[in-house]
Amino acid sequence: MDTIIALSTAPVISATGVLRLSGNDAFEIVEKMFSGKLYDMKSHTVKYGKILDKKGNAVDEVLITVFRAPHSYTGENVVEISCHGSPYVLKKVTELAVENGARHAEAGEFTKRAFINGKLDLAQAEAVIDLIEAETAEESGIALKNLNGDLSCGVEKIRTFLIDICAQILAYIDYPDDEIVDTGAEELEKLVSKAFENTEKLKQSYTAGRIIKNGVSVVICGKPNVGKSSVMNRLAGFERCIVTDIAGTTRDVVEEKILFGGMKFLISDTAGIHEGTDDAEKKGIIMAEKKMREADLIFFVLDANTGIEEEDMFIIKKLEKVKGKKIALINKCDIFDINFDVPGFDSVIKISAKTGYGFDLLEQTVKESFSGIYIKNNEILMNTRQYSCVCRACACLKNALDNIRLTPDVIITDLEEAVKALGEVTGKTVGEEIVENIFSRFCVGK
Amino acid sequence: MRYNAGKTDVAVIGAGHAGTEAALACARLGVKTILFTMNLDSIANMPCNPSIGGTAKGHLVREIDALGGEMAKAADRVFLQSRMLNRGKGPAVHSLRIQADRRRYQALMKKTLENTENLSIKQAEIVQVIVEKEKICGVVTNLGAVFDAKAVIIATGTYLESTIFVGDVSYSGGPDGMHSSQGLSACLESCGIKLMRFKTGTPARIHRRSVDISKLEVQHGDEKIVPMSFENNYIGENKKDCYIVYTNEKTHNIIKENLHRSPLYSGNIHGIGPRYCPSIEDKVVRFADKPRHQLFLEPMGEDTEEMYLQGFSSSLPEDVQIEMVHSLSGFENAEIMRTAYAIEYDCCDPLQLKPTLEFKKISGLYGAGQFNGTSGYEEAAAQGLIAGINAAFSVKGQKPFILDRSSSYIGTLIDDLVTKGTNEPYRIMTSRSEYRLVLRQDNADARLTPLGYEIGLISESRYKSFLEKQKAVEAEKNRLEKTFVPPCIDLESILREKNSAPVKTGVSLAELIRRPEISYFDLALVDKDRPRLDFAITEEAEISIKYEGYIKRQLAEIEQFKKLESKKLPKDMDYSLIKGLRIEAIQKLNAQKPENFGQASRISGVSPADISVLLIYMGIK
Repeated sequence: MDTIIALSTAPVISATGVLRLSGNDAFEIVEKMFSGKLYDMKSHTVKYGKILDKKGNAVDEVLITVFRAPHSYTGENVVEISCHGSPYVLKKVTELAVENGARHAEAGEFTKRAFINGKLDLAQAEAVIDLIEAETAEESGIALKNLNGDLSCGVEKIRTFLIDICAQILAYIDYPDDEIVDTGAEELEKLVSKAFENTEKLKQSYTAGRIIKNGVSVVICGKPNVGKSSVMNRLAGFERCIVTDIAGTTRDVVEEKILFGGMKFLISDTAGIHEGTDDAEKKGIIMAEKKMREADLIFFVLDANTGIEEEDMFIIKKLEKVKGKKIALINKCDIFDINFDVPGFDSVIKISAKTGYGFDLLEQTVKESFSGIYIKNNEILMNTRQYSCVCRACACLKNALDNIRLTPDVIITDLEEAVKALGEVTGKTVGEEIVENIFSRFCVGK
Repeated sequence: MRYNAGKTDVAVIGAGHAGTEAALACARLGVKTILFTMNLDSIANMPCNPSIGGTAKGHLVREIDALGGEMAKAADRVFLQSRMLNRGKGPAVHSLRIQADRRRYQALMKKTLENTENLSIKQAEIVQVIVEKEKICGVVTNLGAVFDAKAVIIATGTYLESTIFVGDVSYSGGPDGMHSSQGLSACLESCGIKLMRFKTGTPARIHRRSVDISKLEVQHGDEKIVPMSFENNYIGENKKDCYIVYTNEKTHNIIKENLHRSPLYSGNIHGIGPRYCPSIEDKVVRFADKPRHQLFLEPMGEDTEEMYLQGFSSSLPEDVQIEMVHSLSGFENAEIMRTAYAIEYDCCDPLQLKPTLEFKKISGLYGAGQFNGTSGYEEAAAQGLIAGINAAFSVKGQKPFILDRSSSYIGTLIDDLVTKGTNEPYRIMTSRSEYRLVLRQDNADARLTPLGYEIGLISESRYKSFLEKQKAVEAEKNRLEKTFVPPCIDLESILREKNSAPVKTGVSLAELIRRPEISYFDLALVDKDRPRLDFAITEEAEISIKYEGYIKRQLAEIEQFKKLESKKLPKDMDYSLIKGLRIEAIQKLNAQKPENFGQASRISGVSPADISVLLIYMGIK
């Protein structure tokens, strides 16, 4: 393939900046602009020298690292040039490489080449992106595990398990004369159930993956003027929302990404819920209710002054059907220190948005509620594409289980579809594989 | 000395199962055809099992019949025993198989050929094909007769430069004591055709009277026989039984002790054999933990005591074979009438063929059957029919006839061959199809007979009765959907007996049939106005109701498949110009020049990523 070049480090002034070239002519191109020779360099070795322009003037002193195909990230010939980190120098060196036959890489092109050359599968390629974009320790940890192939391995395990079941059924169908034993509906149900459970577990890991990647979605709700926006501002650490004494100040949903106890949170402040007066407020309330249904965590803010009023009960009623964790926050406890129970809530915490009272306890409570998700799964789904593939596989396996008393020719269509869907997570395809598997495992003959 | 022996439209080389179907199709489509065979007494011979059909193979036979081929009709007339295999495994994989009277099958096929207009049959060995400017011109016999031909179909089976192996003995020879065909291979290679070397084998034939049948397990045929051909309703009763016998520890020990004398293990055989049809020594080695293997003793015909010992094919020396046979229970005094052998032969790499089975590089030259790297009579016949139709069409200047994967097992077989190729004798299996629930043996006529009629191989009267059957199926489906049964004692007892949930309100017959545990037959008692219909009609109505959801899903998949199939790729494309394709993909694509994206995506070595690149390049995505 043609040779591409890109800056691998950030385009800012820094100690060093690394340019990376990949392609058939990577060595030749660099050799034309380098004071030393590359052809005699062994793979994975470094050489010191100067980058020279067309007239032979030195542009920079650099270190050159050589990776010979296929032992490189992309599977092609790769050269990394460590320059001094001046944006001007880096631009100049890039221009020289382009003049000598390289072209600017497109976004993700190095990883794409690694995928095309079979160095990474799809799930791994996606992990590379996740790793680059990681913002927390958990996020980068999982991305790294997925890059190592943890997710691919987990998916592959379920997939091969299913391929084995398919092979058994198909051999039983294709060789009626041989003594291939019928798996039997009960045994088959057991096997498919096992595959279904594992796939379902994988599917559920997406909740963790999504939370780790996008943050826990928190919705602050409550009747008007209990101090929801003040709670938001306290959490955000700055005046994110306009706070007034006038009820109904917040109409839109205000969102903010924050780090709280080392975890990512996506906090939404919503309009106070009550029988709205004008159209804008009504719309805000509808949006708030939608947000509540989708949230991982609800902060329901009450006023210590008033205790639980009818308007609060109205919201509590609405929250009954909400799936996420629910924490009641009794605000304004700096003024009134009062204890009361809120029915249907996981915990009730007394706070003051004004003084910061109670926020330590809140942090601890939140941390404890979500720390479990990190350790539950070895394989964690981090993106929607993978998730939708796994969902499809789950649906197929569910269907197979529902129809397990039907004939094997039907059950196998669901199993094969599930195999296909899981194969799409890692970018593998099937077909021949199942056929191949029959031969390796069974004694057959006609 | 050569002499000009005349002209023909199509010359077919070889009169096995591929050659006969090819010749009949051509002649019936009105083109002048000559069928060449090395021995007139070997027309449509079955040198291996005396049976036709089986899993997926039974589907092929019914598809051949639905298109107007001959195999099913002949099988129905000479069957000794008939069984529908896989009855309990669902309608998609029901497969019909018959034991055939081998000699009568041959005689019948020969007579059918003789009585066909436009068809001449000649005993002659073709030693050369004449190719000029990448176009076929004719064939030459070993006696120097030159026949000009507009199209030539090679259906040489296992005869090309074939070698027989029995232990350490090997000699040039064809199947069933015939001689091998010499010289044609070299001629084909000189025309630029790439040949491969494959191997297959057949078990010993045993004299029935020397076996103590009482010690064997009997296997009867079906009580209610389903004919192979859609033309027939009733074909008579079973005439013979098959028997089951098992190998034992002693047999396995004899094999293990003599393995070094097998040409397969000593390395004398270079050809690649079929994995799914292994020799007994192969099975014993590969599945060492199995204490026994099942064998079948099958009748060869009504006029003979010769029996075929299925599952016992071997290339071990004759003395070892005798010992092995004698080790089987009931076979202590068995007499071997024909010794088992392995045979190695030349065949072409099918990647050189178009989906019409015409060679990409030589216009007018077609391949069919084992010559294309397959195994099995049914696979051969299916290809013969398609090659025949296309040869006739090309002579007549008509558009090619191609069946795709979603239409049939025939289409699947040919697509596998010409896009994926094969590195062993290819056998059709139900697992090769993605669309099993749609490609059933019971609906082969619904899928293909309209095409057969369009081609011109299905007669007016048969087409009429086909349409009537389809109408009857539709009418019965409608009736089942619209007939409601109220809750009553009869229905209650049916449901209880079948372990099915009771009903509280009236329910349609169709709704009941959709329950996995309830069949059309079960409901007879509550279906008072049920018309008297042929089994074929009620079967199709029942299946299409019971499996409606799944069938709809596969039809949707077929739609998807057709989208990729309809995206054509230019024939003259140079794939090395496309940036982003991997080198392996470029080589494969340039070598094969697929006709469309669907075909390209199935080539091994072309990854989904390559297809994305190709789609982007072609500006389709």
